[in-house]
Amino acid sequence: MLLGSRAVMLLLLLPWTAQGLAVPGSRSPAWAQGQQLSQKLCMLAWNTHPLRGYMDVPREEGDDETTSDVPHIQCEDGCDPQGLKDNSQFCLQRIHQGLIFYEKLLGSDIFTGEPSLLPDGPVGQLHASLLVLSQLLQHEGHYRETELTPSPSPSLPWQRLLLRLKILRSLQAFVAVAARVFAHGAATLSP
Amino acid sequence: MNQVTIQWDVVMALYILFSWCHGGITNIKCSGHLWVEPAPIFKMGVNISIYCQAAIKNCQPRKFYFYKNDIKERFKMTRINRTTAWLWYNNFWEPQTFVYCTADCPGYVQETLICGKDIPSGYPPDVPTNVTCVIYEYTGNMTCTWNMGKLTHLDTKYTVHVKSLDTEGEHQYVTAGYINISIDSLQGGKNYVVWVQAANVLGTEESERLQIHLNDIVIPSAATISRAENVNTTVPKTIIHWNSQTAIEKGSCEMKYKVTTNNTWNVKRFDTNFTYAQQSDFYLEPNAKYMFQVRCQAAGNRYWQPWSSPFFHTTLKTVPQVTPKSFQHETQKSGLLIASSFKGHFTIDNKQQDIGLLLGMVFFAIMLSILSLIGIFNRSLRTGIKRRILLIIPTWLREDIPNVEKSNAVKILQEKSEFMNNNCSEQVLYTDPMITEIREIFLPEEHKPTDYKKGNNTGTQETRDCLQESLLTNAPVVYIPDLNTGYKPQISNFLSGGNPLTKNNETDSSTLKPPVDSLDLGENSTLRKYPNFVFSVSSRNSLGNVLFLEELSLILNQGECSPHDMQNSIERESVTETIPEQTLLPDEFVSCLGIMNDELPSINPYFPQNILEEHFNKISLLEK
Repeated sequence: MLLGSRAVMLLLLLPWTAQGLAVPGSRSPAWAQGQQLSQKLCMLAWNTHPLRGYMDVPREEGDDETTSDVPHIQCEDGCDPQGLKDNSQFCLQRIHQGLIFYEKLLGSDIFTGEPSLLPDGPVGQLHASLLVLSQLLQHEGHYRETELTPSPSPSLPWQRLLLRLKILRSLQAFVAVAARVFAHGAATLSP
Repeated sequence: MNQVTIQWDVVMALYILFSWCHGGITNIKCSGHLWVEPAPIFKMGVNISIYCQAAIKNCQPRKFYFYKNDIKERFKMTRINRTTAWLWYNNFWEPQTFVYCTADCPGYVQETLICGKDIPSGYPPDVPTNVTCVIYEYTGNMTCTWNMGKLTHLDTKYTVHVKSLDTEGEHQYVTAGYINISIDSLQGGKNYVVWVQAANVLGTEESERLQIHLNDIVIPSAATISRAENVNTTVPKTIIHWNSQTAIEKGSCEMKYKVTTNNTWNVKRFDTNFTYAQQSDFYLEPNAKYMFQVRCQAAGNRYWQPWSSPFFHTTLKTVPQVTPKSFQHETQKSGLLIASSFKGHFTIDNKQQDIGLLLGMVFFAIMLSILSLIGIFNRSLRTGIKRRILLIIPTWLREDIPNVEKSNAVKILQEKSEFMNNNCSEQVLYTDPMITEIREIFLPEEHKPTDYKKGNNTGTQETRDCLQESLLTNAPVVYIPDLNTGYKPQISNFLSGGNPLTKNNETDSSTLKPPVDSLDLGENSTLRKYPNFVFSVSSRNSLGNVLFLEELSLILNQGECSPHDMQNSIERESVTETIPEQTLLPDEFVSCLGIMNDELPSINPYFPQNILEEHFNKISLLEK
């Protein structure tokens, strides 16, 4: 009798656990706002570092062998349509981590040191927009402030020239996928 | 179990932290060496050589490239051997330069980085001159300054040496510019020797030695000019008052002054006892704006205060005393009036006129009162006046009750009644005034109102029909008045250029269909193109266009039937017709950005980020 009632309780709680427990913060994300902000990020990232600049980024020896050290959105992150439908929080958590990662980099001496950039230039706008979107996700999902943030070692001016190109190139790829996720969410998952 | 989990989390966090901190995106990996000759830091203007030596695994460089400040150098470059290249500059004058070199490795499209370097250059420091040490009263510090000479462009340190003549003890203070030394730290008496040594990587220089006595370098606290007053004596003079909070009793001060429009200063110097209020007399030009500044020094000292902030004062005007008589004479003679100069005389003249007017009014009031009293008390006079008035005014005005039968209005009504009785078959309450002639007025095209239409419809239906008319006819859309709300401002006359309207039956009507059924245009609808629409979507910046389209979409979705919406819908039509299909981005990326409005998401499978990056590389290959 007791066992049976427990089973019934578990069955009743199953949908709640599937949606609520696995999700840190069960509120529905603001997909439309995220879509708008991520598209703005895409535009800023491409304006900051146009496509023709890719030829100016030299490769470094060992780039091919080493695994990438930046947050990538991969298949297992649940950012595909089915994954988003099942539980979008895993994907949004990943995007949030990436946004924080790049936001810290854009605020580091790589971008603030010599050779100096315009404070209200495209990189400054990009930095501010990254912060806005990451704060939106933080607010919506109550994600923990990740401790996996970069703390780049001091760099020399000649290194900064190359590091900026590398970071912006990586950021472009990241926000492109993030914008796609938000566009999908806004079109299909918005209440 | 919990402890194991925590430890595992910590290990994972440290691993990821380590990999992110020391990964490739925040560090540059050199595959070789770059160096500068004759020295890493050199004097500006010399000839320099930059060498680049490659040490790349499995790469025999086909070519070397140098980049200076991120710009590829194409000249003055030589390959020395299989692994080393040489770049040289004659008379190198750039103070701060960033250089890196790359190699063209077989099998790679991108150049491979070898290494880079910051190349600073500059000058050795000049000999510091004009070493000055002063103690500003009440600060508790000795401030030492000097002239550094020309800019070195390099990190240059200045060391201030303070040596006591009494104790032979020496203190050194390192700074990049001036320095404040606390007096409390100067424990070696009152007499010191001060000198400054300047040093950077290119050299060291030392100033002359300055001997000081601490009491002789005190500068009194700042003097300020408080006020000025004009004294109108036989010879007008100006008195300037100033003060200082100094505790020093005796000193000397200087006051410089000049007319603001002039550049020549006059300086007045005087001995001062600071215990009393300070003032000084000046005999200045009348009606002129002067600027004053003051500075002081303690008695026997060589250092002055800086000049005080400027104090401005305007001296008195010397206006000639002019009598009314002379004024009249003058105006008759010249025929001109200068109101500002003779304001006082005008006032006197006006007073005389006012007195005359007042007397006249008083006289008139008295006379009126007397006549009234006579009229009141003399009955026969009153009766006479009444009779005369009764003869003048019409009789109907005198009647106590008006005679209605004589009224014109009653007469007209009677006539009408008769007419109606005679024409019973055509009973109407009233008739409109007769319209004699209808004349068509041809307005200019741009001023033709859009509510011109056939029929007698009124109200909302009329407004809607107007909207239809505006779309269906060739008349320019200028102004559609709303009969319910009154006048509205002109909305647009974007067809004023007289562009002919084209019939476009191929257009998808669903994109233009207004939300209100009454606006359905039917088969005969003609949709217009607007060649003058300035927005160009053929530019390469497709993202901006995408956003712009979305904004238009948002406007369209408001669903309000108004001329403004109609215009927007028309504009949207023209935009969607001209969107270029070619972009620089892969289709997947464009579709990722392009999902908007009510469009369903792409049914294509999602791609991870690395596939996107591969697309970038393909683009790079194609460009090369």
